[in-house]
Parts: sequence; C-alpha cells; structure tokens
Amino acid sequence: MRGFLGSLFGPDLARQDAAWQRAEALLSDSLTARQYATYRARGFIEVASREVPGRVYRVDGWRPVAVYEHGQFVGAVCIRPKEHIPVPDVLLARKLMIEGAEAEFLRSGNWLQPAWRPAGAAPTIFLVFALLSPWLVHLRALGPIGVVSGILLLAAPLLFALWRRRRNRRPVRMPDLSGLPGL
Amino acid sequence: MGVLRILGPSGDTRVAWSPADLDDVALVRRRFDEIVREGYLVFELDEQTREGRQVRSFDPEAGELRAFRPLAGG
Repeated sequence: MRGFLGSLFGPDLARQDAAWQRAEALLSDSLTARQYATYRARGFIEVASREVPGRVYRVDGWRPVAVYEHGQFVGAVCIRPKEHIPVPDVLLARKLMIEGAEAEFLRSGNWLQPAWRPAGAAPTIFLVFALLSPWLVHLRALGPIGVVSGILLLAAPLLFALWRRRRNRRPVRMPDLSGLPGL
Repeated sequence: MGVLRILGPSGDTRVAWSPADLDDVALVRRRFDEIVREGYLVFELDEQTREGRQVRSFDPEAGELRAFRPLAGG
C-alpha cells in the first residue's frame, strides 16, 4: 500500500516513506522490546531522569517533550533537530540526549511553562457581567421570565467553565513505571 | 562486530567494523573523528537496557553507536 501511494504521489513521498521505514527499524533496534511496544501502542515512550529524582520525560517525535515530576506535569522542553530527519529518528535522538547528556538537553531546549491561568474565576465573571449588563437591562422589558431566562443563559457557560476548571485541577496520574526496563 | 549508525534526512547511514580488522578500525575511527568535528553527538547503547551513554572518542570494542547532529530549541 505504501509503495502504491508512493508511486502515485511521486518520488519525494516514496523517498520520505523509505526514510521513515529505515528510521522505524532503527528505533526498534535501539529500544527495549517493552519500550518499542509502548511507542507502537501510545506513540511515545517515557524516560526517567538521571539528574532529578522523580522526574520522567514523555518523549515522542512531534511535540515538545513533556516533563512530569512525581506524576505531576511541570512543563515541557521544546527541542528539535537542526536538519530534517524522520520522526522516529527525532524520538531516538531526544531519548539518547536525555539519557546520556541530560544537562545539554535542558540547556539546548526551550523550557515551556504550563499555560498561565488567572488565579480565580472572579475577574472573568466580573468581565462577562460588565459586558452583558446592558443586555440584561433590556430584558427587563420582557418581564420576570425574560430576566430569569437571561440570567440562566448567562450562568450556563460560567458554570461550565467553573466545572472544567475544577476538573482540570486534579493532578495527572502517571502509570507505575517501576517494572519497565531502563527506568 | 561494532556498528555506527549516523542519523540523516533519508534515514541512517550504517558503518560496521570488526575490532580484529585494523584497516576497518582505522577507517571507522577517521569517520568517527570527522563527524565529531562536525558537531555530531555520539551515544553508545547499553546491550541490555538500550540506554545511551555519550562517547567522545572511538573505542573499537564498542558495540552499537548512534550519531546525530545536536538538537536545538524549537
């Protein structure tokens, strides 16, 4: 199928596909069977830090490397090859750097903080009321049903936002990695 | 038998040698020094755990080596 698609879409795609296959084979040779199975099933592998106890890097070939400490997401490292190499090779290079040159890995990459969020929902609620208060005043013309309906419509997205916020506060649970080889 | 695999845009280039063959070793050592001078990072894989250890000089007794250009902040 890959060969057929390659012949349809031209030599460039076929060449890229061949490079990807070589990189996949190399990755398979360079990981333990368990790590490679994890990569195939989940698209990433987890690499324990040698420098920081409790720290685990979640590595794939696409996204910044996610960093967890004691199961809690603490940030990410954005690091890429200077020249194009197939994605499985990117994963391998990142993994080897973390294992063998972690300090250089951290020095070379850009550290990304978890997304900033306001300390509470109060500023957002105040802003929404300030923007919508003229609309609520106009609803008075419709009588009490209009006002109650307006307040309910206004409250629904706020309640949803508060519910999501509360849900997102739960710490990320990491699977038990103690049994994995290389961790 | 050792093998050095150099990552590149079209997949890896494979360089193999036998520690007993001195010509082989000299050839690979030259290639190794060349890529290190170019800035490549080289890692030796542990046979059991497959963990990487950075190496800066060529050891003919090394098993599996992987080399790639340094990564940079994205």
